[in-house]
Amino acid sequence: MKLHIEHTTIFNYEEPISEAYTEMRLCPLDGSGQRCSQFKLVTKPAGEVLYYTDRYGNVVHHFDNLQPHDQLVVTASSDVHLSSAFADQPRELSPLENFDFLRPGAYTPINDAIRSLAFSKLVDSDPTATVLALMHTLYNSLQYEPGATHVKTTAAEALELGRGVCQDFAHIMLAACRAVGIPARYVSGYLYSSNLDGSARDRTSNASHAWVDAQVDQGTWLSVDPTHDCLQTMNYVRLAVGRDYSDVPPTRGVYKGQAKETLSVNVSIRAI
Amino acid sequence: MLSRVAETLYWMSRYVERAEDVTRILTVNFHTLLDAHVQDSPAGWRPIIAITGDEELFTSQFDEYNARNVSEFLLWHPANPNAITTCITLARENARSVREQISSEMWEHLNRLYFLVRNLKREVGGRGPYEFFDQIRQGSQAFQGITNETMAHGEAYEFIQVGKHLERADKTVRIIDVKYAAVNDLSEGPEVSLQLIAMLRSCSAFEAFRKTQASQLQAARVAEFLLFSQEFPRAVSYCLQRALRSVNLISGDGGSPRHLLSPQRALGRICSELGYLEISEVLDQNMHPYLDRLLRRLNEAGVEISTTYFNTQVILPAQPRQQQSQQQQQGR
Amino acid sequence: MSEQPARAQPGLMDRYDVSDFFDEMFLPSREPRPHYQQLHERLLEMTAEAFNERRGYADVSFLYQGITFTVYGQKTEGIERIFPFDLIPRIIPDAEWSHLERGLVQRVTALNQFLFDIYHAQQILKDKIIPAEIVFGAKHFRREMMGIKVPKGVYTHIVGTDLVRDDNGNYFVLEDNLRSPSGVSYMLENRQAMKRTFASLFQRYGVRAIEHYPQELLNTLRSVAPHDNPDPTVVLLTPGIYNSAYFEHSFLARQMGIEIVEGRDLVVHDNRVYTRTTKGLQPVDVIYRRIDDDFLDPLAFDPTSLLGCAGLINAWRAGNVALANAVGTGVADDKAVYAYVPAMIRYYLNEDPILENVPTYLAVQDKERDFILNNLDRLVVKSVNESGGYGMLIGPYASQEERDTFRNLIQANPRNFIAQPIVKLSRHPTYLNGELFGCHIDLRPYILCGEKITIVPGGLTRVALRSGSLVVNSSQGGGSKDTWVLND
Repeated sequence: MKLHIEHTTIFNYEEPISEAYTEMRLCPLDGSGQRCSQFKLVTKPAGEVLYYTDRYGNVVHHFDNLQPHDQLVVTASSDVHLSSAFADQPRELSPLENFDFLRPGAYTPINDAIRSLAFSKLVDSDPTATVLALMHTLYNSLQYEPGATHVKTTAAEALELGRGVCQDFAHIMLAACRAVGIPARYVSGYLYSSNLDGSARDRTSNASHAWVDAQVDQGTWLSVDPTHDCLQTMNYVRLAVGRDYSDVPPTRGVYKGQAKETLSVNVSIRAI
Repeated sequence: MLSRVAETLYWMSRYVERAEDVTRILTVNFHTLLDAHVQDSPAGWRPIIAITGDEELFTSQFDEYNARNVSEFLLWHPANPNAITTCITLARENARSVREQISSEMWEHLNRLYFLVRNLKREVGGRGPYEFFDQIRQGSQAFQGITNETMAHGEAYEFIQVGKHLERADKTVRIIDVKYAAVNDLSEGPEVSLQLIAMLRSCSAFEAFRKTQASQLQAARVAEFLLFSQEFPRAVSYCLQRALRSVNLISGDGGSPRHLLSPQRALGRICSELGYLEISEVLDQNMHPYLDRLLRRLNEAGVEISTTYFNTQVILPAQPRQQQSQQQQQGR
Repeated sequence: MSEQPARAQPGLMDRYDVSDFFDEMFLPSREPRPHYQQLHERLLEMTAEAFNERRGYADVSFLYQGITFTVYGQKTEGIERIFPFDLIPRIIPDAEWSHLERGLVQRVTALNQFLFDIYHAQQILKDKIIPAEIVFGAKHFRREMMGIKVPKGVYTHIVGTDLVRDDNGNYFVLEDNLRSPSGVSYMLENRQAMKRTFASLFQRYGVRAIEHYPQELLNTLRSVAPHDNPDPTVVLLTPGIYNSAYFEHSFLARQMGIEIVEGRDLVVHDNRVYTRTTKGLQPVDVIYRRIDDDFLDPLAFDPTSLLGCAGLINAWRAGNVALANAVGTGVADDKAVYAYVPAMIRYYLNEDPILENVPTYLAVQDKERDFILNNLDRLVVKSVNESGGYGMLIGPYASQEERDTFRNLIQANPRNFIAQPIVKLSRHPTYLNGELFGCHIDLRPYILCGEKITIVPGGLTRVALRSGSLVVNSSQGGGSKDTWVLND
């Protein structure tokens, strides 16, 4: 399957700002099952766009806009080939990955509630079963509700609320896996849905999505989506991985000026 | 040199000059009103506030124009960003952050001046604090003298000179504007002379004027002197010539006007005009509009200096320099 | 009327007591060590008055030159203090220094290899020489640095390693400082003061020069310029005038003839770094930065930092600017990591350490933690990241209450603490109130690593000016001495 993705971000400022530096993680990853054949990122005001690869292998594009401006429009377009669900080459986790993907973090604190949830689903010596059990449980016990949480909500807070969006589902899943010693990492990307018929539990609008990779075997990741209670399929396009949302925000940056920034995002994905 | 450092030195210099000039205006006015036996007449004090351009601000803080209120406003009122004590404080803050660029004598002197104004007794205002005025004025003059003698006359020094001369020109223009209007309103008489003497003394120009103008004290001659003299250090023309010279030393002459930077062009144009203008062209009703425009052009020159040297807006390498206009408050 | 017989002037060392510490100047027999003989004779000749007079000259000269450090209290007006300087130099014979130098070169070589390894293959962790948690749990470990190429593979260009001596006269490394070691300006100014006040003694002794430190530092910085630029622009990045070490930043910049800049003077465009000058943007190639990692770049690290320059790390990652020291070197400042440096030397260099560590117990390790908690009255307990004598418990001198506080702290956060036996630090005659007393000292040599490792002979000898005190840091009542490494 070949997809064409257009991801437009518009930054608006009440008053002109200057010396803005922006980083974006919008470039689909290359790996078995997924190949990005074309990626372009264009900005207005125009400027050179550079990139680097971070420690997780994510491609980070970045650019500066030094002159005063009150609007920045960034358009990222990519062509992605998907032949099957994406899978990383099996390999042993590095010492740092092993450390990072087992630790609680700012988004993924491990409190009593999470611990008891995790241990209640633990299947001894069977990480795969444990992960799947956790995925089912979260899907069934949490309400998908946009607006109940915000971008900084932690896994513990979302679990207590009992509701959230895919980012929260993923964070809770991560915290639970780590609580029982299963290394897990956050995945950010898109979920392509070809039938937007507005069915009752439609949790995707072809916007950014988040799910989880869990290490179930030496070097093997099992990719699960607790928001949809399913394994990752060919419809999932991967953009970036990390410990949690803070490692992979689609966009982050700094600028000079007091003006408030408002963001609007539009994503469109179509099969080509 | 670093833009930030140049900017800091420039403003340090402007603030010191500003404090001195405002002090001088206050002092002269106290004397003048004493002479006219009308020490507390609003008519006597209102023009002073007009000179610094802060009428609206003043009336928002005070009901009456009198010696006490005006002194308080100009000396230390917290609402007045151009108050003398504020200027000295800001000058000293600026100096502190670029201490390595100035001599230790400059720093010590400014520091002492700062402690002097900090310890000022608030009640001093209404009773005619001549001693205090003298100390400020002399402190500023000494600072400028120490600067001349203890600093190498390189780029840092030239930025200090630009700041001083632009500030000085600005104040002289304002003094002429207000005092000339006052004189124009009066009919012939001793009152006129008093006002003209006040105008000159506000610029420390009385004796110098007398030496060049043996003839009578006349408004046209006084205005001409303060605007066009190329020898008197507080005359507008002199100040702008000096400022232009400093800017040329900083950026090089270039050879042809096409190669000059915007501050050089802005200052060069004003200097030429002042060099060729005849006083007869700007007398009577034309004086105020002319001076108003001149003030605006001085402000624009200041903006060009900021933009070009202080990089307040990033000018990228290998990009043609564009004219950038930018809001720059005078009282920073 | 008969006159009172004139009382003989008390000598400076009449009451000097060597006690049972290793004294740098005196043998246990109270005879001066051979390399101190000339100094000893000179001191015998001097009255307290004469000595005081010389002190006066030195003090005035420091004050006049503004050689101060600033202590900031509650008010924003900082109090500038002169870092107390003691006129009696610490003398090190050439052979002794050679030994130290070899040990330091070995140590810093291993440290740089360690830094390269943990930010790349992490082989030392895979081989289980150091527990991964120790390294990753270090406050200054910077995972953003993983895989980044640094110029010439050098992470730490300036290291300040603190050395102490025990009561047998053996040198030990107390700690390594790989982020922004300070004090080198005092080292240089102390030398100037000594040359003025004890000129003939200095000359007779034949002391190895140190004045070339700024030039060596500049060479080191230039040698790591990107793209092998033969004439790179080097700047010193300071947090600004309110930083307590600002004097040193300004001093070094002037000595090296480079520009001192703050974060706001820099701007990054398209991955290149520039300074904002009156002649437009000027490119920067090497930044000697005296700002902590966290505050360097609001885009990469703490977004609230006003001290840094956005985009700096990306420019560095792209290889367009060099940073000295590199980001992430602080992982080796951690005292728990310090405990493994001898292991690093064996692992990377296949050699035995020439300089030993002070024996160190890690609270994060169960058995060692038990030992620490059972022996709080006999150990020095330190936080792994504090410096300057803060966050420290000196067991034998602490109250029960203080020990209990630390017991709780250790149990709450064991990763944060280490303990060491009390080292009976060596002492050196130091002037206090009209006479000489033995005061505890340490030594901080400064090691420069560029294409090669250079160590200026000696370093800063710090002295605890309170009699009996073991704390030598400036903000807590310490002072310094000139260090004389003798010519062969």
